[in-house]
Amino acid sequence: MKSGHIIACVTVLGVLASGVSGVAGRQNASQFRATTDVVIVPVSVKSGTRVVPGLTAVDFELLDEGIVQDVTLRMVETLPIDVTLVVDTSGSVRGRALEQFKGNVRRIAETLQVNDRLRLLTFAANVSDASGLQSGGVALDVERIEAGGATSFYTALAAAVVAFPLAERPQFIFGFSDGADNMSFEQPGQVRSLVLRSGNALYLQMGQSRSAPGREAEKVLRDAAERSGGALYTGDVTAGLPEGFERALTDFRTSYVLTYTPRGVSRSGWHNIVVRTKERKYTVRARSGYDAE
Amino acid sequence: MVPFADRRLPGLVLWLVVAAMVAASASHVPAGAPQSGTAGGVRPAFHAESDAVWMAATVLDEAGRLVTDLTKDDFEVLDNGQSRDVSFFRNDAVPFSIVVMIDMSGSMLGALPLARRAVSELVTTFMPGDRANVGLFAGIPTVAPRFSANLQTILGWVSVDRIAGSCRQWAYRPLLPPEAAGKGGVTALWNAIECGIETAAVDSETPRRVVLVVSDGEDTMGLGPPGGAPQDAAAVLTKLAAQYGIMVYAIGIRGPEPSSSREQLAKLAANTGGGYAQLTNRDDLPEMFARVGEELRHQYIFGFTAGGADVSARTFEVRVRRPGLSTRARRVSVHSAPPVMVATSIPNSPVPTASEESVDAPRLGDAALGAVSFSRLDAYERGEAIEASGLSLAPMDLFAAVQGLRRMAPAWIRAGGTEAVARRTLAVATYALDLVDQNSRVDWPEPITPYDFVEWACSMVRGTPASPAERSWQLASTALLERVTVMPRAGSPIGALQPDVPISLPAKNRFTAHVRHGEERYPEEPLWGLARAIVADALPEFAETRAGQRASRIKGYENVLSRPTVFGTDGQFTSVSLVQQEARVRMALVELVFGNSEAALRLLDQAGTPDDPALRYWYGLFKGRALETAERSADAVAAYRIAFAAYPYAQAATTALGAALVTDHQSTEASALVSRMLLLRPPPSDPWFAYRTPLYRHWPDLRRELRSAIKP
Repeated sequence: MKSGHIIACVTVLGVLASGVSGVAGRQNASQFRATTDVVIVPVSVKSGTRVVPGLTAVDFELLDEGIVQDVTLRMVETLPIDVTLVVDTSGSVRGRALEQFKGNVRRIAETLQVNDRLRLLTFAANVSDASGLQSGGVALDVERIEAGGATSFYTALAAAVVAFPLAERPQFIFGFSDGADNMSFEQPGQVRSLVLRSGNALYLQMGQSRSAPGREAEKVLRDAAERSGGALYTGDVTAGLPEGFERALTDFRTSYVLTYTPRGVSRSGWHNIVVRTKERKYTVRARSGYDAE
Repeated sequence: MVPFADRRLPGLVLWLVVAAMVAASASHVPAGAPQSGTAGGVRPAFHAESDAVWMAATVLDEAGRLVTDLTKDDFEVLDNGQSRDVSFFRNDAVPFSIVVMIDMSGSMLGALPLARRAVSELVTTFMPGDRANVGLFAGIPTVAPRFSANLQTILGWVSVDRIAGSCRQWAYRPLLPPEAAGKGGVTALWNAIECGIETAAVDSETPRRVVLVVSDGEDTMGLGPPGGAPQDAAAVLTKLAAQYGIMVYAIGIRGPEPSSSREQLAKLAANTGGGYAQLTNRDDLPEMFARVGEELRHQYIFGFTAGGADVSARTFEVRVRRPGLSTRARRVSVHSAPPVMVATSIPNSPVPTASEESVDAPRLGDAALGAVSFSRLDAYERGEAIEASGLSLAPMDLFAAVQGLRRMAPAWIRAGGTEAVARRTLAVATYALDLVDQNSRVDWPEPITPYDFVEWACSMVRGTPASPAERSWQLASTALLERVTVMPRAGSPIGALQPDVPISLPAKNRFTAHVRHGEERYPEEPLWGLARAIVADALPEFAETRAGQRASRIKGYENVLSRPTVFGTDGQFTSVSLVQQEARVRMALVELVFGNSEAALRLLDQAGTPDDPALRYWYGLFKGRALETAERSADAVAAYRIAFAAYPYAQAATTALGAALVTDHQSTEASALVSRMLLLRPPPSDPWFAYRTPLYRHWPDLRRELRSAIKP
């Protein structure tokens, strides 16, 4: 075992045990890489559309490369979380819509607890990290945000997943777009593949697609979101942004986090994992595996 | 002032004078209507998507007299019955152009001197900016080659010589069967009006356009207008006139007895917001012409914003709040503020003759010509950076600048002397391209379009000897029009992976026609084929099957690849092999879109790694994606690194590389790369965003060449 891995392992376990946030901006320094030491697996368990509460570790079965593992379990609501907001600032949100949008982003930031952390990515043709990692509850500086241009939603989602992989705390990505993507080189299939590898929960709020390609993209993204333990909402996206976020946050906080130290699987590289409950009638959503570098 | 419709005028019998309701136009050309410009002019495009509406209205009192002292508050504008706020209002003189179509059939031949007097009366009412064209008709209509404000010029067109066919360039076009040509006694009334409308439509100098037709009121050919039977004449011609916002006035001479033709004429006039009068005494014709001029002089102009949907499918109504008044109103064909610039005539030849100059010299100074002036063109010629003063213009200023350049160019070119004609012509044409470039993403005020403007400039440079500089101009204009054609005006390029753009055939055809001009001049240049292929790929023809869709998108590239690579390259902007390399790279993306990653890889291997940075970027992107599809993640990472190296941290390549690194178990590097990408301000330029308008990447170099070539 490499010493770096031991440090990462201790850091993760320490944070999970204490439930105390790290300092904003320190994520890269203490980033958890899914080592062979400790693996973190966010899990969503639902019966129909309802979250199943009150489960314990013994209710779960987790297989790493087919080998059953001993897991510990925490509820997300007992842990600080990282949130990545990926929001559309393309030409469709100019003028009054932009002002409304800024107010909505501020409200979302205020929704979070002080131990949580938030990062704001804005996108039009390009995507930018507009805030850095900030503590929850603080007033985000959104005044300088401008709107205009094309829409690279898929690229923005892919960038969010790649840039900010699952760290020492549960993370969810909330993506919002009120228009059709018309610029991305990345496509929904790539986003899905990345999300399922990442362990991040993906929640999306989007306008209803009218075109055939748009509907097909929505179908793939919905699949990606649901398989990650998140969801995709459509409807009045601008007016309902804070409400959509709150619904997603509530849903996410009622999910679980399993951690385990892999046993009986020594090889590096990609590990397939399967998570299920012993009560098979539930729908269980979890990452499909992890990379042991 | 007594209006056109005054019932008290001795000898007048009025058939129909009031048409308060205006049915807005259909947005397409009726079946059978001609598709090409006439008399050397260029037919303006019709923008049905604008929601800004302009209307001209005439107001009469109960006695039929013009009412000229109303204010904005006296009017109410209804859009499909809904009241709209009037955002623009004027009741002063707004320039108009008028096409006078005079019946010279057997029954009317003796009235030629009278017609000349009538035209003279009309022209004496002209204010700065007003212009006229004259057409004569019997069996076949003819029109003068241009508009003019000069009385002598206009009167010269009211000549019996034209009936004898002595002025060959005046032939309009053979609307009628050949056997009808010799029938001096017949009257092809509907074809003549159609000819008048088409002539007015090609005049892009003035916002208000009018056709005034004088006839004995009977169509004796029995052919009807193109696309309709005689009994449908009013409906068909209304539709055509409405397409261009043209008002039709009609004056019938002789006999008060009703006839089908007269009813149709009156209906047409009412529908288009014009007027119809029947003269029992033909000597009243001059006075009637003067009254048409006065009525046009005293119209009110309104601008307002229509609610939501296509204005071409709506009904607009202008009401006067004061009791006892009625209106005749017509939607006019501009959706910018009506310009006040002076415009006299547009020469059809690139460099007009001295005699034309003396007839149609400018009547106002530079200030009336928008952003263009002699001194400005002088500065541009010297290479000064006049762009810094802002060529990106508001619609009204753009209209003025475009028309001002067209107006002024011939005189400015001549002012440089004979030796400077070719160079100065190139300067004007390059200036035109700068205007198009700076304004390529805004709505152009109807009726001008970037295509018409570039074609005007193109016709000028084609009138000069072929040269490398002119070839650069042809390539530069092609690059600009490619951008105009492919890129939606108010948005950005649509991702080439999901072509979901409404196909704009007229735009595509205009672009293709322009490319043909360049190709005719410089057939050895290989870029023309690629230009056509790119637009065909971006705006593919409809196909029901995926195989058909694929074929439609790659057909142009296959044509490029079929060109012999041994073709000479001396003096060309690019070489056949480079063009073919680009065609292969672009074709590879089409293959990827249609799931043929192996075919894509073959094409990219054949292309080889390009030297051109943008092309190398696209090459790396597409190769990476093809290799990812083939589950060769390490090779995909290597390919994406090619793109990344060409444009470091450009977002499409950086994100794609990051995603491929994740798949290749290199998440740490992926995270570092993409995190850094997200923090760069401003984001580095990304050739992916320009993928649909690739020729535009050559514009800066071509423009630099042109600016250098036009210096004295």
